[in-house]
Amino acid sequence: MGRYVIRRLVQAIPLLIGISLIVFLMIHLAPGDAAEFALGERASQTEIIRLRHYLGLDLPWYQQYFHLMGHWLRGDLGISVLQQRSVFTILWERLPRTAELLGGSILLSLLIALPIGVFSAVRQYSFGDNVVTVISFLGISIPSFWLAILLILFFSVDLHWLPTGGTQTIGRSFSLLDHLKHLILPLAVLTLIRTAGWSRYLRSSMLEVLSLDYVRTARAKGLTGREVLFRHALRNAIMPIITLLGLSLPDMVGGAIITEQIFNWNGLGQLTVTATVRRDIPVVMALVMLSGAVIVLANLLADLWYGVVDPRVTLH
Amino acid sequence: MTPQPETESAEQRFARMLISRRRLLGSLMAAGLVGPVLAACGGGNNNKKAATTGGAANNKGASNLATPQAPSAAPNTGAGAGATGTPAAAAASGGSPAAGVAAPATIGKLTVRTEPYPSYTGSPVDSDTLTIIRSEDLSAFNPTALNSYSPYTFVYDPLVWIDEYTLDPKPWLASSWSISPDGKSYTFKLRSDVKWHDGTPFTADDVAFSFIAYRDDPDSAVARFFPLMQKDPVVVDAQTIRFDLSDTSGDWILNACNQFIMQKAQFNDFWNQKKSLKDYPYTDKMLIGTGAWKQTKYAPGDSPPNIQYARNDSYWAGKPHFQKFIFQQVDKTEAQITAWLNGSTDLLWPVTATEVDQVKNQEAWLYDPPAVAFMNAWINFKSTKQDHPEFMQNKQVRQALSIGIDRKGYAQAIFKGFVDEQKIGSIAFPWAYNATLKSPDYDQAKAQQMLADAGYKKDSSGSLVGQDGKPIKLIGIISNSQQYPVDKIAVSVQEDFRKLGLALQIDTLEPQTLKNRRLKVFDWDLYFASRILFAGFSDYGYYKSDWDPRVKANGLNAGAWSNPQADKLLDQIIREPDLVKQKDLLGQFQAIINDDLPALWFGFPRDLILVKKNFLGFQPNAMWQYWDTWKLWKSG
Repeated sequence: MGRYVIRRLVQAIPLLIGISLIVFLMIHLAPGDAAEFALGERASQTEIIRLRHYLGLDLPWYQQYFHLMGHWLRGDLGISVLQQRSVFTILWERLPRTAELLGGSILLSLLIALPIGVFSAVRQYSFGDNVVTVISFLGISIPSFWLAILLILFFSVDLHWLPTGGTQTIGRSFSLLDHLKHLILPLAVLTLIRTAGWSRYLRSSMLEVLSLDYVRTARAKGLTGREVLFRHALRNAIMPIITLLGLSLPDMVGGAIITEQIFNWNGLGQLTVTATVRRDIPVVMALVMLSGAVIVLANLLADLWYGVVDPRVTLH
Repeated sequence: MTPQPETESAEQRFARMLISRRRLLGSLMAAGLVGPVLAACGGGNNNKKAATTGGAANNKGASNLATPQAPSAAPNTGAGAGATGTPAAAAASGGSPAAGVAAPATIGKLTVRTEPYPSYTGSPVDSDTLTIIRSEDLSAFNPTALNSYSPYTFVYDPLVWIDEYTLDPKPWLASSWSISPDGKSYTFKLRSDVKWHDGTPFTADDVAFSFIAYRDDPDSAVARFFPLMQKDPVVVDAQTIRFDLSDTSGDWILNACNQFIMQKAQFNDFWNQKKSLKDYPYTDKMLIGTGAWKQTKYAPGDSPPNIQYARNDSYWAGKPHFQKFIFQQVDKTEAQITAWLNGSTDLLWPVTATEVDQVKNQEAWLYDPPAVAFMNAWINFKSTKQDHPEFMQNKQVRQALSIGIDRKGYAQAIFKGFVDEQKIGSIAFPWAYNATLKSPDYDQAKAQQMLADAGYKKDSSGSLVGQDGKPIKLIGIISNSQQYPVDKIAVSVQEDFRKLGLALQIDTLEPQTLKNRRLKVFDWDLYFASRILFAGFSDYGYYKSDWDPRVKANGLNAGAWSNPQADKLLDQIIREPDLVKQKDLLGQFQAIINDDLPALWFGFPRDLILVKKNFLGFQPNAMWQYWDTWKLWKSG
């Protein structure tokens, strides 16, 4: 397995280089001048030239790219054009907020989707299964922004139970309870939508496994329903969820852009939007590379976990 | 259905059956369906912007426009203060509610207040915290760059105050000023009772430092107001400062002297090293001002980004009535509305007319003051893409198009009456607006006839064609980021032009892409825009014929409008220090732009501000609606 891991990591290097080059070219091929974007309409020509020089935009594109790579290899992610602070510091500040939001939603989704999916499969076509199915399809169909606004209108505006956005009440010292109150709605949006999808996956997978011969054999041998379900069937049925988990991990870095925007949640998703719209190139590049690296790692982890869970899988 | 002539084509019949876009927009807005979507799509640049060039104005002995008057330090608990503050004066200065479309007294549970200098009964009482939100960029500070504006209005004071309604200059940190006979030297006497937040006295050195920074900081957003300050200010003594300008100036008092005064001691060392206030450690070192609020925390990384203030108990103009003040950055309009409905903010500005529908079931004050802003569509007389360049160059055509715009229609559908749609030009200053001028009333038939007289008639398909028989098509460009809903006006105008047989294509662009097309490519016919102004006229770059960007770097007259009479007047205006004389010159200039039409004029918008019902003392301020927060108090 060690060799497998090393080989995958080595394979990831050209992949990441390719990603960085493509994103770099896309940013630079986009119409408009990045320095003008950063400084705004009223910028004088002198200031634009100064910023272009500072950003290295007056160099040929390949020189700019190699300069950027050189900095990254030295661990220097650069300085944000807009905030004039280290990109690393900005990302580091925001990462925990995104991680808690997305991590929380992934964990909760797993905890909720698992029993729902199992129940739905075991009680196929029952009233309970139909209810779960309808709710799941609603959850899959509803756009996240619409659900977010609806929850805000109901819980914040009508009932005044929860705040409309932010991570804490400004002007008061930090309180965990206050922070959790702010977390509830964005977490609910992400969890509901994710749970809806995952429960469907699990239900399908479970149904497939339950129809296999070895399950029938286990029942014939006299094992209890619980033992058949949780010791034999679930372990095989959960494989797609592992894949989904692996694919969801990058979200903890990439963030939920729409949800973070609506709830004014100061995470990496919101930063991505701001930096992209305002052409804060160092931040955009850092975010994209971070996402790319995490995706590569997450896929590797998913594959490794497959090898652990399923003895039939051997990693070469 | 009305019988139609036999010659009507199938296209024309179909066009009649279509619901007009403006009516559809209006009815959807009334149903509140479009509002949230448009609000989500909207954004708007809320930063204060003005023309890129300016002269300077000298206030020399003019009547109500020049004489320094003592500022009103106490909150208005009685009748409006100031000689120019009477409703009659306000009406004369053009500040009354929209003529022909009166604003209602109530909308749902909202109480609408339109009077200047609103008064309140009761005595102010101290309360705990005032919270305000706005879409402003709090990610970086630089008082000269003004990338956001509200934070500086809270901690700083200007040398000269601009009256909230009339925009007349008034003493503030400067208790009085005098101007030399040649109009080039200004001597200011400063108040001696003003202290910085750290307790040190405010002196002329601070004023000198601030003006130099505004002039010389490469990031300065207002350097254009200081080109005549070629010599550094002269500190005569601790309470006296003199500015010797290289020429007479039309807007020195109103624009340059209204900028915030910063503490020299705070920034001097940094300035001497960097010659800029950019990159100063603003998160570690709070801004030190003379203003009503002392900055206690600057948290751009918080969620939402915010700045926190404590009351300045020794504020010379009167201490605020809240112990603490929190200002938060909330960008999305739907987030702002929900924050308002949730009670998370005590004031909300700006609010659009469609958003009023969403909030009208909650009790509050709705203020409706005139904004120092205008909306228009600049005309390009030298489009690189127009097959019929002579079309827009024909004055009769431009006048016909102006008559063919249903201004009252969009005033009601889009603004619900909260607009002065008949006002013309870009001189949206109450002290200077020529109230005898207004846009023509809508008359489609007359517009069609005028176009026909100019040689442009409809063909069998209903399209307006030129001499060559080809349809006339116009291209309009507009930014996707506007404070006022000019994009909706563009749609309305598109519909009006369609009735005339004129096709108008509207391209909505990102600001930088738009700037590129507007100032470098010139492949457009109409540039729909709105702009917020400073108090003094400094817009000449948009009108002067030698400011064509095709020949002058940073030129703003992208439409290449040329009018020798206007050029001559502008040269006089920017050098006329006497605001009374300047007003007369501006009046003549406005008559020219109303006749020759370098742009199609869409009027002046009105700002809408929501204030919680139990918050009293709010004074609308045409310069910046959040400037007078220290006058607010909470009743009960």
